[in-house]
Amino acid sequence: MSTVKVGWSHLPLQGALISSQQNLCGTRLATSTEDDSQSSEIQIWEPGLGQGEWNLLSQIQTPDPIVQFVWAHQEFGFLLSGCSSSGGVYVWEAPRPQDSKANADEAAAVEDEEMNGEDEPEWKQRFGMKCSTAPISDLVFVPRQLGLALAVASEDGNVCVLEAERPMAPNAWALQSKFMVSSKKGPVCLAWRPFTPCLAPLLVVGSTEGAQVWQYLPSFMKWQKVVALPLSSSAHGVSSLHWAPTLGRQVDLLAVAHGCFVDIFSLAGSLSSQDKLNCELLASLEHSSNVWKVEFNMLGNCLASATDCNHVHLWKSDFVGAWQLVSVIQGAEDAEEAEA
Amino acid sequence: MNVSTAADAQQVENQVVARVPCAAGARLQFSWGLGAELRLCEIQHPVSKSGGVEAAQSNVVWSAPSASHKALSFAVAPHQAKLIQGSCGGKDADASGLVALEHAVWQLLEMFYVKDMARWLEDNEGVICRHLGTRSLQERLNDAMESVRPDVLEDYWPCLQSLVAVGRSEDALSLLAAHDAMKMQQQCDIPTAMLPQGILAAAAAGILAAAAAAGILAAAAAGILAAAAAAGILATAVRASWQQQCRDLPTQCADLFQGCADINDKTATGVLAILSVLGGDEGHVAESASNWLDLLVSELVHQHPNVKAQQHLHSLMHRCLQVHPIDAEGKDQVLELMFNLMEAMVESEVQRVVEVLSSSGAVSPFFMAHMYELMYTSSSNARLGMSVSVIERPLPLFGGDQVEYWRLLFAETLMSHPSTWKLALDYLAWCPLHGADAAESFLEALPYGSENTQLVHRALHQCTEHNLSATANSICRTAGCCAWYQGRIGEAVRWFARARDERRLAGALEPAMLQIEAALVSNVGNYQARALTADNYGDLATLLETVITSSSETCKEGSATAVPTTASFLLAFVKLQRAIQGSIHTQSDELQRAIQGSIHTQSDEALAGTSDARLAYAGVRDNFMDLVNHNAVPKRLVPSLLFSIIPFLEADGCMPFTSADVQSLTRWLSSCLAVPDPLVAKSSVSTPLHARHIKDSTAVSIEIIESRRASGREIERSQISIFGGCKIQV
Repeated sequence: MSTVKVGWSHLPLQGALISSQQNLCGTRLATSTEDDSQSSEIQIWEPGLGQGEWNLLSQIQTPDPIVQFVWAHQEFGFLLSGCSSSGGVYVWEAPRPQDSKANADEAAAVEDEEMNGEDEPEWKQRFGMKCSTAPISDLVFVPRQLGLALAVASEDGNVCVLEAERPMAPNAWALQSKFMVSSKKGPVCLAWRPFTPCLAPLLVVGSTEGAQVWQYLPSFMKWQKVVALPLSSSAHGVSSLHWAPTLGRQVDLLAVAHGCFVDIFSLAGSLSSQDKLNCELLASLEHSSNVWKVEFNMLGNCLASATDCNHVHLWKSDFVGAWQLVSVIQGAEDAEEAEA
Repeated sequence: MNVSTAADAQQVENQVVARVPCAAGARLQFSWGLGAELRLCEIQHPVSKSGGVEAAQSNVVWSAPSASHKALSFAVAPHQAKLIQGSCGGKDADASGLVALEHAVWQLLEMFYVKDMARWLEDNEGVICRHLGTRSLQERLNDAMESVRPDVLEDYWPCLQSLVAVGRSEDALSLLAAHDAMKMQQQCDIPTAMLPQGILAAAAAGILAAAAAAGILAAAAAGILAAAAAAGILATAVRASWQQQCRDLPTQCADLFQGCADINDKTATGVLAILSVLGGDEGHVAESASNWLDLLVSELVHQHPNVKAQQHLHSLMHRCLQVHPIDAEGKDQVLELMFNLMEAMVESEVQRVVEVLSSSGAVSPFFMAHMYELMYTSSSNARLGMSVSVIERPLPLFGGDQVEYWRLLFAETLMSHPSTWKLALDYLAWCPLHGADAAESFLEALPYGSENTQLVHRALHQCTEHNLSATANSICRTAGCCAWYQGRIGEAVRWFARARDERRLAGALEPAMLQIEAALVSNVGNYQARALTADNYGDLATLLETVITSSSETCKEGSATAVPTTASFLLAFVKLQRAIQGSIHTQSDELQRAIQGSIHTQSDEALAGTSDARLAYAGVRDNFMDLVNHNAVPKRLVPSLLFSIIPFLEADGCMPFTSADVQSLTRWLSSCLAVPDPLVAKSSVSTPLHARHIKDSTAVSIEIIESRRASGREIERSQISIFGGCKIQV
């Protein structure tokens, strides 16, 4: 890290920020807030002209606070999904051309009303359903090559896969499958294996009972457990996991966070009935406090882990495959003063 | 299993590279951006509920290539491409490519070749001294040369001695010429009292000049790699004789030195020191060096000109280090890096060279990505004897070799910047194992906004260049979506067609389909010929024609792409509406002519019988039959579409539809109604009104067709019951 450039801006929000997520290309930011009156809203932002500046595009009231967001791949349009702790799963979409027309018609009808200039059509909730009576703890879109579908994990140990009936029509979703991954109640987290042609979808699921890899069997239209990952310690449930982009690797890499540890696994072998997946614990990365999120970068050569003490650690594997802490990004109250 | 720890607070503190705003007790949410970029945001802790107020969204980008690295990369890329193409064909790289590469990464080259150690030190001592916080020899020389009387400066003779020690004879001669006595002597205006000084300075200059002319110092300075060339017996003998003369001179000219010392002791001592250095005196050589690197070069120049890297240099380096030890805690880190690096190099430990550089943090990913080319070059140099087989081994987990590892890392740093994304793709293209997949992921993540069509076109061009067709389709879909959300339906259709994505194409055309459907519904019960919304689709028709033509061409080329049915239907429908519009105009024109010509008022049937009207009606028939034959009409629209054509079916005077047509229509209607349309239930116009319209239009269509069939007497009675059945079903 010879040079490091840091920039930030404060978001003009009412209430506390519960969740935020930027889309991959960085053109939209979704935030969710809750104020003292328990009123929940989500906000959609786009980059402003200034460095690090964000302009509010849309603000939508939500029935429950949205605890997590996930953006669909941009080939599905501007599509955002979120979940709540009351079991709701929602999909919001950018204004459609019809919306603009409808708004224009409406504006013409009430042209004598005040000219406030705020005639930009709002983002709309296209879909909402109660997926579970338990809180939703994770949701993630499937790899774009598999279509527009969402995997949703709830704290009752179930995973639902919802599939949009048509692309560009995110108002109709069908329950494609539902399966139980844990008999114990508690947070469940998910990560898809990046798409590979001719390979059935694979999902890694973490729960209080550990981490397991599940495979979809298209011929039976059901999910089946393939392998359980042998965690370095069973003292804590899995808080986060991520499947590294496969690129041209011979083996797949998975990162599983539990307690203060992040375990890195390699997965190799065939999914055919004769062979079994060969799973190996490559490294266990110890942190000073609990890790709540892990994610590999786009090339799968760097792993970021966020801890409860506001550190984001960056880990890389060296030439012999040993994982090294290469950098730390620290969240600090006095960061602005220090910068000044 | 390997256990790494970040639990030690001090270790973590040492690794902090950036600090971003975040309240205590809150959480720092993050997501990866493009390349070496992290996006962070403070959010409320879900359990303690602290933080998240006035939250800041932060962005951290690291290893950003500097402006010079970017410029270098752009310059190097074409040569690198040549080099890689060359190496694909065989191990011998293209020489011209190498030369250009060497020029671009000269610093790197000199580090690894070490073909002229003294020259390398001359070029780079400024950088080293800056890191050490000391004045470089060049700075000292400049200061002396800028002085009116350099010889009276305290640093004059030490500087001169150091210049001689490190083999910079030209600079030493210039400085010597700046001595006051030398200047006076040159002007033949030297006072007698200063004569000994002048003679001694001139003698020293003469020896230096002679050595330079004979190439004695240059040959010695060529150091490690050139040593073999200079190590001929003759060269060694000449050198030994010359050094002996340098050593003998003070004894032979003792009176002169004494005379000079009486007048100016500094000059006498200075010249003595220079002669001692030239004579290879260990003490004086060591005295003139300020660090182990200077000493090493001085030793190579004056004491060990024939040293061979692997055999002698290692021990020589350690001896120099003993004389000038490194203060690793202080500012001497650069000297430590140089020592470790040279040690690895002289021992031909390629892997150690890589490790020293990568762990030093002193070199950029650019440097790391390019140094392997030089290693390959030096491996072909038998004298250095480096073996590169180790760097070609696949790395565990990564799969590729080290070269690919660093290239990928450098490409990653280029990804974060809009100005270098194409360059990033070039570097990814040189990664044989991971490049294609990485390029795919990267290209799919670029911000293809609606206002960024240039980027879309450039990215598509790159996809073509790098043979990434699936990525190109994804980019087209993304561009189509962006255009669609902006209300540019035509552009969206074009992108979706290019992506060969029929489902999205249908989705994009859905507003047009809905409009047509609504128009057809509203037309039920109207028994007059009229065009439905044809004027609105003028541009769309042109676009659809292009889409369909290009799709057909793609089909001919062997691609498994079908002509999009929605587009086909829409185009055929628009054409039909135009034909209907045309027939109506023909009718009204003829009526107008009839009125103007005071001809007797004629009936509609009679007008339709005229040739123009016949042609217009035939056009309607042709277009309608095209629509039917295309098999692209959504089943739910069949009855209402058929209903809209009723006035032409009933136009008995003109008879545009033949009996065969009627038979064909019968078959079409029965086949369409026999299979329920899956989209009917989901259609946004599947209202009670829609259901009623289907019933009405089906009933009337059947009635008319029955009547036409009866008049044609070519339809079997039994088939009529089919329609009855369908009517009940609907």
